[in-house]
Amino acid sequence: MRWTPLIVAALLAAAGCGPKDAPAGGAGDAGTVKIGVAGPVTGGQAKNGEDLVDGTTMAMEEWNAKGGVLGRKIEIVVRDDMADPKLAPVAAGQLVDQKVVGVVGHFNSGSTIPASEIYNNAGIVSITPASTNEFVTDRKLPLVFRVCGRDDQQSPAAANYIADVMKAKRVAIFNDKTAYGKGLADGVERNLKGRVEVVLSEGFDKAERNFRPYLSKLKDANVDVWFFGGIFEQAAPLLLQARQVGITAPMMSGDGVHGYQKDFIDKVGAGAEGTLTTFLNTEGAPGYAAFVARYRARFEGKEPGPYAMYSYSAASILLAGIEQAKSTDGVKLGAAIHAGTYDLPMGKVTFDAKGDVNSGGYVVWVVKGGRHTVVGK
Amino acid sequence: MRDRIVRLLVATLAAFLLALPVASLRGNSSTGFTIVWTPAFVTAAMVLVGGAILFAAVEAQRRGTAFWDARAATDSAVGRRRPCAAQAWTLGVLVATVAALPLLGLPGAWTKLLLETMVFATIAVGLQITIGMAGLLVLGHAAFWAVGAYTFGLLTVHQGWNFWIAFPAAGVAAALTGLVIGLPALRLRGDYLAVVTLGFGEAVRWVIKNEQDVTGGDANLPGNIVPGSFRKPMGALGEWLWQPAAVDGRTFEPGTVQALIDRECYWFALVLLVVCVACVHLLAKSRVGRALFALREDETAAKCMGIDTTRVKLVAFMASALWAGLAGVVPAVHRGSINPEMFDFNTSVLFVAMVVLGGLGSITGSIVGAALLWMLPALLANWFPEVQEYRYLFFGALMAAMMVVRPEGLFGGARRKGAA
Amino acid sequence: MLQNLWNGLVQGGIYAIVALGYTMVYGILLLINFAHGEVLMIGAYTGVATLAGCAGTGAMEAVGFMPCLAMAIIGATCVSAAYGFAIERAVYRPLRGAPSLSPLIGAIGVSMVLQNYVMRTQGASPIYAPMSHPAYVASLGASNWDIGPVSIAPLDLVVLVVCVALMAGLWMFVQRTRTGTAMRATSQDRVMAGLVGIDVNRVISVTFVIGSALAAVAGVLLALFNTQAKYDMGFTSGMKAFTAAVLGGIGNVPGAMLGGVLLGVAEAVGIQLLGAEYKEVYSFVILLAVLIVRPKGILGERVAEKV
Repeated sequence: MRWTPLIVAALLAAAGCGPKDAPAGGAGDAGTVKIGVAGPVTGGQAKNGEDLVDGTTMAMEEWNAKGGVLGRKIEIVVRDDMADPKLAPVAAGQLVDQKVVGVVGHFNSGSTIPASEIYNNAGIVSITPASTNEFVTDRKLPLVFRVCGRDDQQSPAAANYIADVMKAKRVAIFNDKTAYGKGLADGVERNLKGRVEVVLSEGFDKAERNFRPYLSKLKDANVDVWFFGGIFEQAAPLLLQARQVGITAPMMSGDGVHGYQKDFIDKVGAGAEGTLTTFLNTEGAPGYAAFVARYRARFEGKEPGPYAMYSYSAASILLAGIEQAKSTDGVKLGAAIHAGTYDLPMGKVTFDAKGDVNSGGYVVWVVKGGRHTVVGK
Repeated sequence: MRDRIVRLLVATLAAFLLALPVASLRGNSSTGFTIVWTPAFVTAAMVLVGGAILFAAVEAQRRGTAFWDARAATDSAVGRRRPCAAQAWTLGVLVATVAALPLLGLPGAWTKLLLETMVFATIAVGLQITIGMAGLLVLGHAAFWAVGAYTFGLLTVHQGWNFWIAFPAAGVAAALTGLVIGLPALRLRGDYLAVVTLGFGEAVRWVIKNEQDVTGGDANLPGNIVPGSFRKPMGALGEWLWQPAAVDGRTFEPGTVQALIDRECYWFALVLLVVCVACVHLLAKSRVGRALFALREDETAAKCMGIDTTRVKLVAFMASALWAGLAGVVPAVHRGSINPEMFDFNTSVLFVAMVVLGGLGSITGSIVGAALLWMLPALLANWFPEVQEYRYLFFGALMAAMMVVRPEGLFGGARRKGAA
Repeated sequence: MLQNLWNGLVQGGIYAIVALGYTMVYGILLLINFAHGEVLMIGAYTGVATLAGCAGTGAMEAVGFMPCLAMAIIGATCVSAAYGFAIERAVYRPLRGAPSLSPLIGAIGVSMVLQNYVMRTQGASPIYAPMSHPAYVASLGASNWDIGPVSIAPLDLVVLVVCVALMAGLWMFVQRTRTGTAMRATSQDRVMAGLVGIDVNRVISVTFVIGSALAAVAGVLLALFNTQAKYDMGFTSGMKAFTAAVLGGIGNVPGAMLGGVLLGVAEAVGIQLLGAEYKEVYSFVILLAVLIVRPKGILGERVAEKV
């Protein structure tokens, strides 16, 4: 045990000079205002992380060009959760230690649910640009907001289209067993009850890539349309394999599949034609075209992903909220955002008591000529 | 010297050539092949540096000037010497220092990291019983952790049990699970057992994931109740211990709740670890412990000596599952929510790595192994945020290199026959 | 039902080739080669990159899909074999004779390195095989054959033919050639084999090279079968194949084949009959059932305990 004194000394030293908590952002010092960004920066959903970081960066740069907030420059701190619910609280903890004022994120519902709890406990406002699971805001945490829609708005939109517009008789439903995918698929199934017969309902792991056993069942079920609650990185091989085994019925999916031109539509090619998705009506948003033009100019012609605008909006709301609250204190900031109205590319934005956004409805899009096009409400 | 430089150059060249196809070659269906040189050069450079470190370490080892003196550190290895008064005293100082850290202004980041490390250390020390002592390789230990965490979560949230009843219940549930999986283990040996425990671990995770109505599945929720309420229904004692001002969400003081929870969980985890170390130490010195060591060295011989191998194996399984189950309570309280993905195969492998890297049969080793494997990636991310994407690459290389340099583990004693 | 039996058979064939690599290494070194799945993944990446490159340069149009596939498989085999060889030299050889769990942890380290390395260099998004290319559509992408209720894709047949050919080839190699005899001798008793003049180091290297080459072929086929390759694909396949090897009796070459096919079929039929919810649990239940009846796997020999 002759190492003991050494260990004791090391531990004491660590207490003094370990990974330091950053200086408090709320103390009103002359330092920068830190905004946290958390989402799948790496991993299979890195495209989403890219949108998240790009959108936030744009908002930050625009505000910094105007002189920052409360006279202080803005800085963003990015942490990666790899779309893994296990890593989300770790990333959240790191952002809390960095003393960020607010957080844009996370992306996936399964990550947002535990992480936003941590932010809320630490008195930090978080705005998710993309998590649609009802539970995110149904907990009524005062400092948790979202700028996208909810699955209980999205799933009726999908179900109504299947039942009323397509007049489908038989439907199959797949999900990827994540909080997002399963929540959405269950919602669609609930909404179809009594209207359309759901002949097959299956869930598989989000790492699954051989779908033939499920697709054989799907083929036997002989459906008019099949719904997949999941993310584009799995939807692409799923749809490719479905076309290979000769399934011609269209796939329908949610916002996890919508808008990934390079990673979904281009990969699947001709097989993607006719694929239906539910998404917010971005084309109808007043400032969308202008936003896309600004985005392309800033990122050298890169196409914005579906959630780039929502990430930009989340960051803008956060910064405008700080300006309105005249403080970086989380509780005051949360109250200010609840009370405020924001004029953004996505339209006029206000929040209800739960922290849900009061604008935008889901519409159904179809892939036609290799592009998403709105087909109806 | 020249010889070594030549070997290093050869290694770099080999690494470069090996890295070339995967690192540089991009096939694209529209543009054909493109070659990107940078990644291959970066890899070669990394291998050069890593190789230099490794060669230096191996050389140092070979010359008998091992940079780590194993003997000195293995004093507390199980079943060696009786702890003398001086040892007890130094241990006491160590524990007291660790306990005092949060009061001395330990930053929140460290509190969390150390708290998690202590949870992992508890599990690793418990796993030492099956792997280190009995020589049974378990690749599904995370399942016991999961059983403990979910038992605790469901009992407190759904049934409203008191914390102090649910806490031992979590341990008992995990131990019973250990009994169930221990039964087939009686017939299986080595890697057959390993793969059965692997399958078992995955099966438990899938049950949790699929039974969403009860466990909340992937959505983290215990049932349909707010994750934060894990902390609420723990009865009077629990309230006194865990309940800071108000977790209602609307009336708290910003930033204080999480800090309080962190600190209280920290002390709880420390006590758990100390008790676990004491128990495992006593077990190792007991009749059963001796029987386990005998089992590891030679099962047939142990049987011939009159050891009831069936009973002893079951005890090993149950005891190590018990500690994992008890340790499962801490993340449930601390994180406020649990998710089946926390308990996947990688986690089980991490536990085994902690035990093996620390040294089979050494309690100190398990704790150090847990500290290294859990804290290092987090610290790397913190120290070098610019290259945090590379941290697992570096970490994996370090793990392999450490095993090559010290195959018996950091605190492993003289070479012994290991598990499997 | 019959369709899924067939699906399971094809998937099982791929499991079986991967399991062969596990079982061969285990037979000789008593070591679970945890990095085997990563070697498969590297093979898959090389193969898909070659295919995509062939499509992009126009070579595929000129010579057709099958020659390109052959080239992709050969390329992947070479690269993976080199990786297998290097891993053995760098990590397993220094650890020979160490406590048996140490190489296991070393292997886990290696697999972490390889996964992250490919993720950094090739990107985290999957890369897709050029399956919409006209040359592919003309050969393997042609319409399926319907035999009764079962629809058989040309790709399925290629996978099965390659699997059977590889297994037969490996069997001949192990049984008939001098090196194969040396391998069997080494797996029975390494020390004795060394004493009778077998270069044990060479035999072990050969084992790794062959095992990795098999994994590469499996990787390319799996990538085609799944339409894509991703940096983490080796993990699941590796774990499945390991289970398959144990199911058949680890160290036993026909056992690995049997185990792989059995596992593939069990999963697909389980999905058909009982639903997908508990897919991973079916393989566990089968494993447990088999091992309770036969603790050494289906074809594992009951070796007398040496005392």
